[in-house]
Amino acid sequence: MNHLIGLSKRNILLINRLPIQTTIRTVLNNREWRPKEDVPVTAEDRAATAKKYNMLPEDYKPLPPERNAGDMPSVEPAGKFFDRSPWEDYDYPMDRQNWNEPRHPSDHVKYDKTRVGYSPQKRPVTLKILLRLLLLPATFILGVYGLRTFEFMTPSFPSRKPEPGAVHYSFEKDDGSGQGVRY
Amino acid sequence: MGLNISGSLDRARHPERYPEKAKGPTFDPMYGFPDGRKPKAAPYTQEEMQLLNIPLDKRDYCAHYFRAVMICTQQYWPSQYGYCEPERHAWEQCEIKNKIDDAKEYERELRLRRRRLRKEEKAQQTSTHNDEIASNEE
Repeated sequence: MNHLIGLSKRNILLINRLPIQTTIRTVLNNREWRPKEDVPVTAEDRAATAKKYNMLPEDYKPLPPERNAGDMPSVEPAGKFFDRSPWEDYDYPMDRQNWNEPRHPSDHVKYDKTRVGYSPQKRPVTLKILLRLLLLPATFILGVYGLRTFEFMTPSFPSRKPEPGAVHYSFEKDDGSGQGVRY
Repeated sequence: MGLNISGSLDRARHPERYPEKAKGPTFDPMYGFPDGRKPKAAPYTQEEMQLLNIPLDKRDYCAHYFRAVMICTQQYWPSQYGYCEPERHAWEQCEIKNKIDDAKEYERELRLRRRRLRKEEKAQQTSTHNDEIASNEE
C-alpha cells in the first residue's frame, strides 16, 4: 500500500513523530544517550563529542556552565516551522526535521508548527488587503442606492390625515344628512 | 416578492400607467358616484389634538379611538395589556378600514388612468384612420 502513495518503509517509520518524542523523553534516562557531565577540553574530545551529536567539530560549542547541561551542544533555534523550506527532503516532513539533527529545545515548544503569533507576520498588510474589507459593505450600499430608484409596488396611497383645507371622501353613499362618516 | 419586483420594474418602465403616490388621487372624487360620497369627518381639530396630547403620527381619522386607548392605558397601568384590548382592537379596526379606503382610492386612480390611456390610444387610431381615408379620396 505504501508504494502506491510514494512512501518507502523507511519513510513510514520516520514520518511518525513518535521517535522524536521518545528520544526527547528518554534521552536523560537512557544510560547510552545520557550526556557526559564534563565539558570536553581537548581537541580529540571535542571531535568525539561533535561526532556523537552528529555535528561538525568546528560547529560544536558546549552550553555555558550555568545551564548545568554537561557536554550538550549549544545550537541556535532552527526557526519557526513555517520558516523552514517545505521543499527539502526531511526525514520527518511533518516536523521538517531530519534524523539526529541537533536542535534547540525551543524548536519543539516555541517554534512548533502549532504555535503562531510570536513575531510580526511576514506578509505585510497592504492597501489591497484593507480594501478587501470594504467589498461587502460597498456591495450593500451600492445595492441599496441602485434599488432606490424603484418604488415598492404596494398598491395603496399613503394614509391621509385630516387637514384644515382638505376634504377626504370615504366610499360610502352620501345620505344627505350633512354629517361626515366617522369610523 | 416576485410580484413586487416585477411591479416595481413595470412602474419604472411605464410611470404613466401607475398612480403617483406622493401626489395622491388626481381625478374628480365625485366622478362615477351618482349618489355622492360621504366626506370623512375629522374627530378633533388640530388644537384639540394638541390639547389631548395625541402623538403626531396618530393624528389621523382614528385619533378618537387612540385617545380611548391612551386613557385606558393611563388608568390600568401597568396591566394595560390585560384590560385595554377592546379599545386597542377598535382602534386597529378603524386603522384597517382607513387602509382599505386608501387601497380603494389607489385602485380607482389606477383604473381611471388606464381608461384614459386607452381612450387616447383609440382616438389616435381613429384620427389616423380618417386621415388615411381622406388622403385616399383625394
